[in-house]
This record gives sequence, C-alpha cells and structure tokens, in this order.
Amino acid sequence: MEILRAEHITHIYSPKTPFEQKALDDVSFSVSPGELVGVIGHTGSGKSTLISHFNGLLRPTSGKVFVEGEDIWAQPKQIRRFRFRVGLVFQFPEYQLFEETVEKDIAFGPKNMGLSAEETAERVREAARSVGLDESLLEKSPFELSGGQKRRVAIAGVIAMRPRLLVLDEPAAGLDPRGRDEIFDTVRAYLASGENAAVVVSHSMDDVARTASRIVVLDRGRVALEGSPAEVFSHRDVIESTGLRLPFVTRVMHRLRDRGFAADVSVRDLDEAADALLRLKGGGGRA
Amino acid sequence: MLKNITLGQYFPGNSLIHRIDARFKLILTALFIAMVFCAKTPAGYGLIAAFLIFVVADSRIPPRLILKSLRSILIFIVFTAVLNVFFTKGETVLFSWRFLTVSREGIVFAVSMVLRIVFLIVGTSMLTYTTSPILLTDAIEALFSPLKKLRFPVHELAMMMSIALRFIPTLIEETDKIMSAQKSRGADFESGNLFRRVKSFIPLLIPLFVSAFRRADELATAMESRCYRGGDGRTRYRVMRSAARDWVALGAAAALTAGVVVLRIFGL
Repeated sequence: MEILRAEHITHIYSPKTPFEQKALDDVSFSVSPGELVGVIGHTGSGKSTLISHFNGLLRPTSGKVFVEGEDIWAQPKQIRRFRFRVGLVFQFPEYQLFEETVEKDIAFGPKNMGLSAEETAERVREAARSVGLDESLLEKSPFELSGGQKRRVAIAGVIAMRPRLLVLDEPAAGLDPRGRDEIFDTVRAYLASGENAAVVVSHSMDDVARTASRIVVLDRGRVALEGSPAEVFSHRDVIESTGLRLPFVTRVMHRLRDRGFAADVSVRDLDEAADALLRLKGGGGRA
Repeated sequence: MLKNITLGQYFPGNSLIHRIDARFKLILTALFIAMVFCAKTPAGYGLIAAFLIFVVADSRIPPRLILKSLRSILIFIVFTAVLNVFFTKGETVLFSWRFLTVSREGIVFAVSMVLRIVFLIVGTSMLTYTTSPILLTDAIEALFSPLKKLRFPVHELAMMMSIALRFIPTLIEETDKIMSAQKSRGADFESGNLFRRVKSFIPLLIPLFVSAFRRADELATAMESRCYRGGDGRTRYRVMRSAARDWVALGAAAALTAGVVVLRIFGL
C-alpha cells in the first residue's frame, strides 16, 4: 500500500484578504514503499507548502491527505500522531537544535512519542549511527559541532522517530560535495529495508538526478512533469520554461545532440556520461 | 499562523498622504493629538471626524483594515465607556438602580471619551499605515537632531530602531519555521496546563535566541566591513526635502487646530 497519498490538494494562503495567494493548485502526489521521490521546482513553486501537508502542519484548503490509508484530517485533534509516521526535516535543520547535549536533542522526538527511556536511548544510538555520528559526540553540546555535524544531528532527530516516510527539504543546501554525498548515503541507507520511503525537495537537478527513482516537477503550484529521471529530463523545454536547469551532464548531452551527435540524454551522472561518450566514440557514429 | 500579525503595518501607496514628508507627518500627528484633546464640543468633534475621513479616503487604505486595528482595543473602549457612563457624577440623573446611576453628563462624557480614543488610534495609525518604518525613523532622527548638541546619541538610537524594525518580520518568519520544525518532531504548543505550556516553548525560544544573536553578529560584521562608525559626517541615500505640499498640509492642520480651539472657546 502507498505510504502517502495526497489527492487534489489546493492550498490558499490568507484567503479573502488582499494578500490571498494560491500556493498549490490541485496537486496529487503519492509515495510507495522503497521509493525515493525527488520534488523539484523554482523558488515559490510550492515545494515547501506541499511537504508541509504531508504531516499535517498545513491543512489543505481542499483535497485530502492519506497516510497508510488513513485520512489524516479525519480527527484534527489527533494530527500529532501522523508527525511520527511522516518525518519532516526542514531546510537548515541545524537551526532547530536546542538541547544541552546531542543525545537529548535526538531524543526529543522519541520522548514526545511517549516511548520508554530504554527504547528512546536505543533509538538515539541507532539514529546517530545511521547518520554517521560518532558515539563520542552524543555527550557534547550541539552548539559545539561543525555545520555538517549539526545537520546530521537534526536529521538523526527525525530518523529516531522511525517514520515510514522521511521528507527532507533541501538537505544538501550549503554543504560541500562530501557532506552532500553523506546525506544522500544516509537517505539511501534509510530506504534499504524496502519498507520506508523518502521525499527529497531540491531546486538542484544534479542532487536528485542521481538518487531519485521518481521526479515530480512543480511549477507555480501545479505538477508540471512527473516520471522517472530519464523521462523528466527528456522534456528539456518544459523544464527550462519553469526556470530550472537540467543536470549538468544532461545539458552536455543535449548540447551534443543539438550538434548532431546521437548522445544519450538519459544519463544520470558523470560516470554514465563518460561511458555513453566512449560508446559513442567507439561506434564513431554521427547521427 | 503568525503571518496575520500586523506590526509597523505599513500599507504602500502613492496618495497625497503617503507622499507628505515623514517629518511633517510626525508634526502633523502631534498637532492632531493636540487637536483631539482640545475638542470639547460636538462641532469640534465633527470637524476632527471630517478631517480624519478625508485623510482615510485620500490614503486609499481599506476602511476594513482600520476597523480591524480598532477591534484589538475594543475591550478597552467598552471598558472606558461603561466606566464613564456609570461613575461620572452628574446633575441630570436619567436612571438609577442601587449604586449605579446614569446621568446625562455621564453619557456625554463617555461618548466624548470613546470618540477621543477612536480618533487617537485611527489618527496615529494613519501615520504608520502611510509611512514606511525606515522613513519614520529617518524622520525621528531628523526632528531630534538638535539634541545632538547635548551629546545625545540621536543617530545611534535611530539606527537601533530601524534595525529592530527591520528584523521584526524576519524573526516572525524564523519563529514560524522553528515552530513547524519542532512540531514535526511532535512538540505540542497548544495543550497541557500553564507550566507545561511554558516549558513547551523552550524548544522554540532557545533556537530563536541563538539565531537572533547569530544574525546580530553577522550584521555587525557586515556593517564593520563597510566601515560603519556612527553618524558623524555620514551622508544619506534618501535626503529629506520638504515640498510645497508639506507646508500647505502643515498650514491646513494648524488652521484646523485653531478652528477646534475657537469652537471650544465659544462653546459651540
């Protein structure tokens, strides 16, 4: 069964005022176990608004959200329990740390779930391990850590709730390439069991191109494109009209194709691109 | 959710009221306050009401917005009215029950107090509705600059004020974000007794303070690397120049104040 299904979501900010703004317009979205869905879109395309509906931070103006088949707004007072099943990691999550020690901060979510002390401690250790934090850091103050470490603590804080769906908003923003790879490794490890799923929001195509199994492109509150990375990246015109850029390697391949080479535009990273180019050279074929 | 708070509620526009020099608008507001306190007769109140209606109409601020700003002090207005109606001693008693007496004078006094409050709130909020906070602090700095002679740090205070104003929306946005983030980890800001609720704000307040200090630090570095060193010899990007319309507005307001005073003297 799908972990999350959002049906025809429309969200209007400050309705019936001069500041009225339609942030989402009839968006449908679903995530199945094992998937890693990339949501991309320009600033103001409604990405953050969309994911805030997944755990009930925002209530849709119209439309419905189901988590594991349950309508999350059936009982608005019970909305909090869905926060533990759909874990949301916001942009720059390191700014939300507040506890005296890393351990206590990661334990904030599990504690709010009402788990026992032992269960909490175990989850904290496991979450810290899964994001690659050394045990020696657990006793430190989160404010002493480096930027990348802080971010991993914040992500561990959400993973410790063991959500079925992990949603990350721009998890790689402001990190160096290594930090970025580590974050995506964490996400992939989280998906390894096959039971969980993840949604990664980004405005960078390169980040999602390599990792996502499916991509959704948002433009001005609507779904502009949806499909596998290869499908989505083949619509160069639509993507460029939404103000986004194709991943670097895809752009190179498109450019080659424009020049008359039979370049494969569905490549996902540099290695695949190199292989494709070697094949092209081996075949020697100009189209 | 916090986006509904209007603070420093500037409402951009290009009306006559918007274009009047901020320094003059400050003086006009002071005159207006004096005017409200001078008025005593129905004709005086009528004159002020007419003036206010003209200002509101010219500014094109939706009247709904102005009514909204009054709604926040509705309790205060009702309280004042009730207190004055029942506790003003007057000669013409209209109604009496146990310790409560309502006199003609009491009603008149209550009505005039309510009118005064409404005029003051609407009048002064017209200043903030039509003047951007930055222009307003510039105007305050300009008007208080004579105090510099007394070594009073006018420029520094104005700078602090404009920085504070500038960061209000930023901090509100930040609060909103941190709240969402902690809610996503199951934080509950809405239920429980008072003690629990206060405690539930710790995960919000600590990150907020940390980020406020970080921003302050970054701003200080940015200002220092651009050689900011206070007001001495500093030139301005926006130079305030008074135009004919500013003097006309000032003259009109002065005439109106004089009118209100005359009406009071003659008891009309």
